[in-house]
Amino acid sequence: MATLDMKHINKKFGSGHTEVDALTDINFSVNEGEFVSVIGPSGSGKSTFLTIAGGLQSPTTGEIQIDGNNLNQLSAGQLTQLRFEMVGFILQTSNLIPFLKVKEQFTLVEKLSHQSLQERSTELLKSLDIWELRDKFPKELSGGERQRVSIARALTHDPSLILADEPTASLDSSHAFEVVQILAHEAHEAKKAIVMVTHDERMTQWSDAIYVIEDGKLRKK
Amino acid sequence: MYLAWKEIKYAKLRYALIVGVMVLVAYVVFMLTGLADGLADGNKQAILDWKSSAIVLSDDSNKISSASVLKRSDLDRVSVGEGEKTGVGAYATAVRHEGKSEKQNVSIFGAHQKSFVVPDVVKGRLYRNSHEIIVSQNLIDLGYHLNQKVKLGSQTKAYKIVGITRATKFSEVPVIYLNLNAFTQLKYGAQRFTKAADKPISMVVVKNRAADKVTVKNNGDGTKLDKMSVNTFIQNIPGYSAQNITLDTMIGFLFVVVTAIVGIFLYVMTLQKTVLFGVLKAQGVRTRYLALSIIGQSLIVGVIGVGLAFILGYLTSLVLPAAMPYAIKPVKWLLDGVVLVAVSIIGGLFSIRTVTKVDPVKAIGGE
Repeated sequence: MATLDMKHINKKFGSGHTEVDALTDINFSVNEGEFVSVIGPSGSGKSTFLTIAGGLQSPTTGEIQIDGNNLNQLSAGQLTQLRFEMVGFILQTSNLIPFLKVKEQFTLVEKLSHQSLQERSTELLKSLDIWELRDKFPKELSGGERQRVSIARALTHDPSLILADEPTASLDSSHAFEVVQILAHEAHEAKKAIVMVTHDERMTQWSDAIYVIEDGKLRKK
Repeated sequence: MYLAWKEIKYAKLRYALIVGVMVLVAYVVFMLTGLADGLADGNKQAILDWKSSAIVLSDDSNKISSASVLKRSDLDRVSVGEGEKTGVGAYATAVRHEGKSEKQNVSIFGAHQKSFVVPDVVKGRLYRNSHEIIVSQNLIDLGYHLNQKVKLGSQTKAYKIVGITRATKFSEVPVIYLNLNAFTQLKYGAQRFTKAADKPISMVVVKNRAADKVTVKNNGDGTKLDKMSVNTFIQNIPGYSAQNITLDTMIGFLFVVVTAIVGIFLYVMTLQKTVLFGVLKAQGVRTRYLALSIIGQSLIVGVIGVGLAFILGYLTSLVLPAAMPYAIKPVKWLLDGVVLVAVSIIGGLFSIRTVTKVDPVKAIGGE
């Protein structure tokens, strides 16, 4: 069973003569341990693709399953819970909370999930080489450091699916490569399904599969 | 609550400012409450000292003691036992040192020395004749002393202070008690009354019997009597209700101000955080948690602000001049504090809708 499975996804915005097809008949799946890149220029529908894959909005038609859960059958509350438990987001700028120190970002997840994640976050911080940064606020970190913390944050509660939205957009190339390598490593070692959306083709070299999205249509490269 | 508190700690200056504003407004609320209670006490304290239950005035007085004229014989027209009613004369005048022209306003009550309205003497003794008076401690504080001879009103004769009672006020001025004959003399001067029963008093004070259980005989050609509860009597002290309504309205308005200030502040903070809220929602953080976080912040701002204002209000009471009527009633202050915290929470509620409307989709794509 694929971790993320999207079948015949269509997404339309607007109605009547203002109707726009954002996504057309998308079929896509990622298995655990797989690192998949989706590349496309801006306006190609890759953000819409990612929000639908993560259950942030529902498709007009089609079916999505995350770890066997059919998102169409979940209530808004259940969907939020599913996102919290099974999906990790890594965003373009940062998904960090500006007023929490690095280690407190993890404390928040701990408090929200009512389970002890102390050991896991320590291990993550150490393996991503950001342990020394634990007492700093996000604004005191460099872009690359911030993204590494973001990755750690997305991995804390052990989600099966990681969705990365242009994680390298705000980084110089050497830091960008480093971040992508970390993602590839996590997918392979920690057996995560990771989808990375990017416009930068150089970032796809560590991917297990590359898809191209253009005018709302997805094809394998 | 974790997020709420961490953000306050991080954005110390911003939250210090809003707490500062909260402290100032809460401080004004406490000051006004203190003043309102002080003024109210000053107006009515002597009446409360009587521990009476009802008061009978002449009907034409319109419930004002100084305008009421009864006869001592009217006491018999009030249907309660002898020990539970007493005739009292009320008169407002000024006291001065013998040989000096400087005057001090006082409220005079005339009553039989064994009457229950006459307070206990804490120093000296009770009056025994119409030349002796007892005064409240707050008059002593103004430079008068025991065994001193003083002049009252336009009387040429001197009165001797033979006793001191606990500090008390009526109509905001110190209180003097003297006997009924002295009262008659003071208020009616040389006017002669043929019978003792015809001598005037201002009111009949009743204890242990609620006003609606008291009946007054209103037949015949005597002055029409009007019975009322002590509370009604106090509400009709000239200026008493007006002053309370004014101060209470100001306090009430300040509650609205707090709601607006905290509401606007947290709303602006919320608007600044919509992107962050979007990200958190995308990550599966429930709207309820974010909403509670904002409510938590309004609670923290309210509690800290009120706490500091409480301390400030108390410290102020220590340095206020004695002439300023100011009374700290813990129950009232506590109530003020609870309402202040409650209205700041209501202020926080204004932002909830905005948080609810934040769309997590916006977090993706950097839009």
